Amino acid sequence: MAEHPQDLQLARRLVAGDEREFTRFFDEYYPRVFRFALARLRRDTDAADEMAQRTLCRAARKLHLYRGEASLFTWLCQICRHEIHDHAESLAREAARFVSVDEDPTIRAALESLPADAHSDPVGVANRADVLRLVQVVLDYLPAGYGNALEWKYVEGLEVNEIAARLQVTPLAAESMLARARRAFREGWLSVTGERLPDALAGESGS
Amino acid sequence: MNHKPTNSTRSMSDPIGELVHSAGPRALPDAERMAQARLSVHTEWRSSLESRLRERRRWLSAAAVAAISIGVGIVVLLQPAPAVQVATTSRIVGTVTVQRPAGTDVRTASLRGEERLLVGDRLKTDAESRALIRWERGAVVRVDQHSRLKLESDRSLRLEQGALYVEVDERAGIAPDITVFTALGTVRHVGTRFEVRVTEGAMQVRVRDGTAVFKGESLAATLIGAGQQLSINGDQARLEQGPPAADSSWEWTRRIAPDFAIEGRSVFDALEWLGHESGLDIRYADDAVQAQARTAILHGSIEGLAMREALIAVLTGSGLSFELAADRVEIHRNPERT
Repeated sequence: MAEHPQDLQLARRLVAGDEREFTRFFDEYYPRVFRFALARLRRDTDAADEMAQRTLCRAARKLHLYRGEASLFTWLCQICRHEIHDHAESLAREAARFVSVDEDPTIRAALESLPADAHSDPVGVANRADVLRLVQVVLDYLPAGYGNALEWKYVEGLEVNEIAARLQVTPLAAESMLARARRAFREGWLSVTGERLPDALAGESGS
Repeated sequence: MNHKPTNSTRSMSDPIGELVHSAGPRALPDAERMAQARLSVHTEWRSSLESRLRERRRWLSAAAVAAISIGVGIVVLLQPAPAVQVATTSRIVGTVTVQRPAGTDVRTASLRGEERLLVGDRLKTDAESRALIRWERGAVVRVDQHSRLKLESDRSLRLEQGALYVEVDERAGIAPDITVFTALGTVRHVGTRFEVRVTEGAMQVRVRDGTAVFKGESLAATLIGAGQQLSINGDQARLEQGPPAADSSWEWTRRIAPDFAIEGRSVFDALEWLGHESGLDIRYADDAVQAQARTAILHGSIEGLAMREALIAVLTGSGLSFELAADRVEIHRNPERT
């Protein structure tokens, strides 16, 4: 049984030739795969673009093979790893030396297990060397749209109404999504750091 | 509008907000490179869809042949594929012929008015004829004189000779999708109006609005933007500025345009349609003039009228007048009525 039914549904619609789903797929995953590659290519944006493009091209040819056993993003990351490796041996050597925080198998497993309303068991992870990078990695691994919603709220400082407008949903739905996103982030953070974030005093109840 | 979060909105009472804010925005790819990547991935995706479709058809054909062989022993029967309607002619000018496979034969007939078109049909126009075809999946194709084409699937056609003009209406409610194959390469739309013209050993793609993509056997995918034209000669490709949207070289497309029933429609709607078809920019003297065009309702027909005559017909009695320039139509309040 597919563990990521929504991702599997998206892949099936793409295989059926749905143009709108293609737009959604590209807009959602290209930036995430780009950042995944960027972290492994010493912040070389040109190379990261190249790798992200190759990854999505290869994925486009293999979408019919996707079974929903891992998340679509995880599947794309796997392809991206191969692309980086194939790109050049020298790059592969660099990539091997430079281990991104989310390359840690324990952290990766924890991140990849995040469902939309996760209740994962905490996994103790001691690596806090790059906290800010880790925050961004957690955001990228969150289920669809959550990472963007949190970034819009806390980095861009958008109000709920503005987030609702971007998502083309009602303010109530946006509020609810933000609450789920915060819960997912909390779960993700706990999973990868073993550190429980304190509950917020306000704004955390929107379940 | 963006508001920078203040300390009060992300205090220590909101550790998630603190963390996410401290991490700052995640890196984003360059917009131009992302657009190029979108094009490449889209081309790859469409190409893989078509390739799988061809593969499935081959497999089904092989399976059908095997089943027939088992069923009838030494007698080999070739069953035609079920007729699949992929398009309908909605306007025919002159004599347009269709060749349709019928078992082992090919039947030739003349098309008149609205007729169903099936996968495998071959259409031919002569020196006097043109055709307007509505694709089931939402695209509209106008076929020029001296053209030959084959309907290959519900998403593709092959232009062997002549010219066609593809218009994709993104508002149709489904994702319109059409690919034009030629001997020198394929052209796909990315939400657009474009013309493909094939002559012996050469072809030309001109984009009127939006963007189209060309991919040749030995040529890299090329993005053709609005107002550009791509000329292919053998294995040489040249992308350059094409004629303006209102250039007379597009005139043939108006001669086989879909009918626009003006009865009960507003002057504004009719002007929009005329502007769309002619490539002319419709400009109103002011908001009040535009509002007047929206409220004036039309009766009758402008079918078969040239641009100037159509404008006169549409504006007569509306209290509005026009000035026609090379690239635009200016709409004013009729001084006689004020």
